[in-house]
Amino acid sequence: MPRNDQSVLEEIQYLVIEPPDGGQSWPSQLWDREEVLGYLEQRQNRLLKMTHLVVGEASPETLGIGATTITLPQDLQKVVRVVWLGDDGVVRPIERGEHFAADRLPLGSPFPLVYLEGLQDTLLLTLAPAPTAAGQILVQYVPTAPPPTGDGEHFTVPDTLLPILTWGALADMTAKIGRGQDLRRSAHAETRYALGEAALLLLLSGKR
Amino acid sequence: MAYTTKTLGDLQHLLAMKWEDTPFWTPEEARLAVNDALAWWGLLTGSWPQRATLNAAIGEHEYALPGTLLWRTRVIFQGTVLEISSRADLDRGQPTWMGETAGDVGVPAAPLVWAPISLQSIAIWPAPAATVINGLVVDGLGDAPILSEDADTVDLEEGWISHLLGMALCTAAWKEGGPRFASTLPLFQAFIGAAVEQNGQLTSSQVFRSLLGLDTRRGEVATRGADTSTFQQTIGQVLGG
Repeated sequence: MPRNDQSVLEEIQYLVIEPPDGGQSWPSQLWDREEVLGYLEQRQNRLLKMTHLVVGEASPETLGIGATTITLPQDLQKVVRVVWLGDDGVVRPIERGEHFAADRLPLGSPFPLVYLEGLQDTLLLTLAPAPTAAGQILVQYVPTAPPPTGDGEHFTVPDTLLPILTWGALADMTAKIGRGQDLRRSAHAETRYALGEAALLLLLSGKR
Repeated sequence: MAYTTKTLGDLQHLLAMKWEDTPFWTPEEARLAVNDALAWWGLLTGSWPQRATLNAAIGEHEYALPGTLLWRTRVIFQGTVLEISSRADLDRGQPTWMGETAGDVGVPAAPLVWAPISLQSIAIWPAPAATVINGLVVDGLGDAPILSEDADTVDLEEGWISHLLGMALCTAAWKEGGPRFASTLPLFQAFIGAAVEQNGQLTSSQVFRSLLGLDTRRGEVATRGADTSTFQQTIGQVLGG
């Protein structure tokens, strides 16, 4: 049986004693549909960012001689890897750096040696030193997932990992200040989420 | 290792037997709780392996794995097992690897290593020199079974069943909270302990060690100040002449 955002919402409804209807209505009014979908979206993006479950690749961007800035994809959550594709056939990974080291890099390199984040506006990446040859920059990154709509669509994470999102959303729902707050149950749900995230990190660690 | 086959109906019946009083859950809630426990068990222990076959394309380094393969443990190219590497190792040890195909000058004649890129994609090096239908075989962890009908079956080891049902009971009780839920927390703990026994790698995570109370090393070694008595005596002697 394929699982989708409606089946996850319904499972959550069972666990918070709401009438199960695929997440359409929440008569207790302790939560609403959009709120729960928001929790699922946040947990999914957090899981993707922490574990690199999914790694996307932007189309190579041309970098002219002396240029030091490239534009990052709109759906970028986290930069994973930056690669220089020289017009002369040279392919080199570019390491992540910071401005103190970048200020002391030797000039005259045909390709950038480091990339720096946060020096410019959002979604702009700085490269140093300025290359003396033309080439392209390939960026691999963790993307934000399409937000769940509750209309029967699949999540970005594999179905078998959906319990991690479910329990993450339950942790958020029962931590909400109000009549629905139950910190003991929230802590347990958060523990399950943390265990799932830790297990995925173990799967993906060491040989990333 | 002995395996037993259980149906969803069997597991629901066994779940009810773990609760002395009238079950406080519906059959659908029991089904969801059992599937939830199976999913957690699969993630933590990798108990349901799977194999996928892919076409190896000429010049192609990166391959997406099918969605039912959760994690890859072994990659084989035309009968040869590839050694595991990492993208970082390739970037530093063979910086031009992304542009290299098998048979290029100074490059091995066939793919030798593979590296994980994400959960469901891998890279191989060097890229194949020709397209090979079904040339790549990937062994990995498959999705946990999802039981829908009473007659649906799952293969389980006898020693797992009690822990799985304990986890399912904890899930079912969560909706109520209070003392009933609290009484199932030891079952959750036991489930995690059983998963750790099955997969010792989990103990390398501080999250699991903390949950199971294994993180006691620091408390066993009491911190204390350095012994300065000898130093003070020496200084006294020096100053006293």
